[in-house]
Formats: sequence, structure tokens, C-alpha cells
Amino acid sequence: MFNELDPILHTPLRLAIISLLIGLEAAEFVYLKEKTNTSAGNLSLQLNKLKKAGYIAVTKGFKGNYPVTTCRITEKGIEAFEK
Amino acid sequence: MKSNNFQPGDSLKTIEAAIQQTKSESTVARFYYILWGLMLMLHFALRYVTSHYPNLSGSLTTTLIYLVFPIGGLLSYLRSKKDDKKETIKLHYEKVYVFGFGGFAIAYGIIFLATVISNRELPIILFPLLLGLTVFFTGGMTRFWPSIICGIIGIICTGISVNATIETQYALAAMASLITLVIPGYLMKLAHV
Repeated sequence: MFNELDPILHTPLRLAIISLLIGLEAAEFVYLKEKTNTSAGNLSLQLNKLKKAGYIAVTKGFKGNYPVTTCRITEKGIEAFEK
Repeated sequence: MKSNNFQPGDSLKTIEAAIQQTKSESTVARFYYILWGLMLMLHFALRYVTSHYPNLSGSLTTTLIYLVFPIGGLLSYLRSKKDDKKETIKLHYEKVYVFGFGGFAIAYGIIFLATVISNRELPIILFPLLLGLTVFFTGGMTRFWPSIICGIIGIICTGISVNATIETQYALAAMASLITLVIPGYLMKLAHV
């Protein structure tokens, strides 16, 4: 009935991140933190794992004087999610 | 979020919850629909009034006719600045609006320049046609039915304009602005789209 889950996505938090990003063009770190209801440290760790797997692209920039981390799902991430 | 005993069934629940979250996000398009709908309606309504009652066409009325564009531009700029500060996500739909209305602005701008260069009157009937098409297309892409219906009504205004006098064309363009922009914008606000 179900395909074998991708080991990278086989955790609730990483799957939640990818599921949120698939419905959006881009999301900031604060948005993901609020919606996944997790700590900044844990979210940062999971985002790094997804980034290393090539499932998301992370860009760092500034909004006024404040640093902003923006995440986008990649083509590879979309393919992995659709499986 | 704990990862113990994470089953395929749980993953579906996680995916569904995330999709519901992103579905509930709304764009700021409704603000621009209402703002520009009102500005364009005012512009064409004033042009109708000045062509129907030539004694009213003075420098003040002419200034008012064109003043709506810088006012609209300034209000749009201020709103986008405010939204940029608060915004933590970008929706896929935003690109649809940017390209849809960007295409409309480019097309109408080119027609306007061509008429200025060739010293001819701007064909007003193209306004409801281009606007109707843009609203119809963006409504279809974002699956917002009122925009699709209002876009078609805008295109119908063009059909009526073909045999109409220039005065009536201005009135129809004002009506098209109300129907294709203000009404869908207000309905977006009600539906939280």
C-alpha cells in the first residue's frame, strides 16, 4: 500500500518541513519554527540534513538590520516527497 | 515532534496537517485589487464626466484624472514595504499575480507609447480586454472562481465597447475596473484568499 519511506524524510520534523515547503515558494526560518513547533536548534539541525541531501536550498540574507534564513524546496526534494 | 515509531500512516497525517497550514495562508493581492480597481475606476469615471460635460474639463479635473496613478503607486509602494517587514513566506500564487499583472502593464504600456509616438488616441476598448484576460487567467491559476467570472464580464465589456462612443467606452472601462478588480478583491478579503 505504501512505498518505502525515504530515510531522510522518515522523521516527523523533516517530513513536516518538506510538506510545508512544497506548498510554498519560500519560507523563513521563523515561519518553519512556528509551524513545526520545535526548538531553533533542532530545526537548524534538521534543515542542515535536508540541505546536505539536496532536498532544500537555504539562503541567508538580511531584512533591514536583521539576519534572515530562507528555505526553498529543490527539484530533488520535490521528487523525494512525491515518492 | 518525536520520531519514535513513525509509521507511514503518521506521515500522511503530518503531510495533511502541513498542507492545511499552507492552504490557510493568504496573499496580499486583494489589497492591490481593491486599490487599483478604485484608482482606475476613478480615472475612467472622471474621463467619462469630462467628455460628457466638457464645461467641467479644467486643469483641476485633468490633474485629478492623472493624479490617481502616482497616488496608487505611492500607496502600493508603502504597502509593499510594510508587508516586506512582516512577511515570512512567499506563496506560489504570488508569481502568478506578478507575471499576470506585469504582462498587463507591459502590454498596456507599449500600446500607450505607440499611441503617443504616432499621435493617436489610446484605444480604450483594449483596457477591459487586457484587464479581463489577466483577471480571468490569474483567477484560473489560483482557482478563485469569482475572478474567473469577473474576468469574463470584463471581456464582455470590450465586446459592448466595440460599437460604443468614446464616452460610453470610458464608462465601460470604469465599470470593468469595478467588476474585474474591486469585486474580486473584496471577495478575496471575505474568503481570506
